[in-house]
Amino acid sequence: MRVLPVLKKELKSYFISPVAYVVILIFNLICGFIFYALSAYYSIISIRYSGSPYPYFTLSPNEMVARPMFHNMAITSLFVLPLLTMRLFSEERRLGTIELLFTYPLKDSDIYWGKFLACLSVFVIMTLIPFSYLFILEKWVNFDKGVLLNSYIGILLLGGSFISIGILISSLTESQIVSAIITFGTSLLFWIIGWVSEISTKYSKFFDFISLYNHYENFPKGIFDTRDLVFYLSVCFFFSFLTLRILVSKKYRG
Amino acid sequence: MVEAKNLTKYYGKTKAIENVSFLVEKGEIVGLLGPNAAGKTTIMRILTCFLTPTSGTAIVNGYDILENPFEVQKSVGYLPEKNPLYEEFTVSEFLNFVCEIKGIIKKQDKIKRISKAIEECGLSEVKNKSIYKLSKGYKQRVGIAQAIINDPPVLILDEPTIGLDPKQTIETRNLIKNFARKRTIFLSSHILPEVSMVCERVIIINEGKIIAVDTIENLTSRLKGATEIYLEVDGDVEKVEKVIGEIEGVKSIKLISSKKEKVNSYNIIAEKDVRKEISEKILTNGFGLLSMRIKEMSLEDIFLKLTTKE
Repeated sequence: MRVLPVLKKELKSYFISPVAYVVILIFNLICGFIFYALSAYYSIISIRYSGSPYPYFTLSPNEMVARPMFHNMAITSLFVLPLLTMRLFSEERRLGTIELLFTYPLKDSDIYWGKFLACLSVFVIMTLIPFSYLFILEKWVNFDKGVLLNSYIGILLLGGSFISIGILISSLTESQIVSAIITFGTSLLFWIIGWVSEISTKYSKFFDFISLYNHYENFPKGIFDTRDLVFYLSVCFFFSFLTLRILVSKKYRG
Repeated sequence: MVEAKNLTKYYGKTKAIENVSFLVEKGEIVGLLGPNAAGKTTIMRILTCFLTPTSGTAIVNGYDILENPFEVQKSVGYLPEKNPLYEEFTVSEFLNFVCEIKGIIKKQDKIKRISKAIEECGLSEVKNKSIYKLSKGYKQRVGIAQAIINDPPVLILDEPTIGLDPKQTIETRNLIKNFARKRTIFLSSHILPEVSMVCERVIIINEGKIIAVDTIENLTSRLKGATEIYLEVDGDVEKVEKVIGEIEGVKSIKLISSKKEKVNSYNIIAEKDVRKEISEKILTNGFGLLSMRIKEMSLEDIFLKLTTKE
């Protein structure tokens, strides 16, 4: 296993170019704004109802700040992750460096997981910053830490699934733009596919089940369901498997 | 050391190479020669396990490319065509990455190997520069440095001097010659003089098929059959032609060009080396002998003869 050198190289490439910085910055600007809006609203509501004998029914910081915050983080990552995954194979294919990488003594899986983990690491760095905002509020309110941790695990699982979709598409095209657009479209489709469950009846259960969003919902609520965990891990491994097959088939087709 | 056995590769329905077999012995420098799109790069890519052949196989350093690609890749240093590099890295960062990927993990080993490669390829001046800032010649050296960094027994170089200026070409050639003593080198080129300068043996390939495998001397003598002599004489054309045509062994004499009024050059085809007889005749007839030499058959001629024969 030589995942580590590939991982190091990919991380270096991310941070040599401005792409990773820009993506992290934009992501944090948006999440920072959402965090501000949510906590400001929360403080107004709590002042308004502080003297009331009938307290607002969900006046908990978990429900009013953390949960919507994690939902927004999930949607924002849906938008920005294609920008991180688009270059992983497309760029190497276009520049020809893929020929170097694939003639070094490495297994295809080493290359794949190196790239996957590098992208996931950038994602962790990107999401840890807004995650830490919540702890600023610790001075005034009490969060249920277990729920926060659970939500973060949810974000990571979701991010991992988006990344595995993105890498698959990046391995199919030489154009980074095309890769980003298709990745975004596919991820969004998997995000909203559960919506049809209310309209159609025949396949509604199936669509409901494969929706990335439906499985995410539980995490910010503080529910850790192994079905959701298994679902996300299966998505990751399914798309990873497809990517590895694509890489092998390119060797045969040339 | 490198043995191809009936390699065939199709890209979809297009045939790239067909039934290619050859053997490169240990310590040899062998050139793979062919026009563009003859299948050179395909062969190189198969030998480095970047592509899988449609049928046939190859043995590199004792390992089968289909059964043991990992060991094959470990024993091969490869310089791909167009020399792709991670250009955003500096030279030493890049070589460090290649070291780690090739399994040289210990820090001391890494430092030793990198400094050795940098020294051998003459990169010490630019080792802390980003690769995209380097000239093409330096980039080529970085490409060679990454290939030799783990001291592999086999070097596979795909068009190592393409796109370089004459000075850089000579430098790169010398670099390759220096590595030759210790390693088996298999290089491709469509530039014929280069192959004749560097290689001991050539494999000539055209339209995906091998058409000749031999040393350059053997190829020349095999195809020649006759000696060609270039002659420049000061004297009347008709007289010169008559006198020389009478010499035993001369098959034909042809006027090539006339430089001044009386100085003409000729092309003589003879059965054997008749230079002595020609010079005697010219002097006894009072002509002026300005120049005479045997025309060596260049690889271009061999190549054209071979590729147009079929």
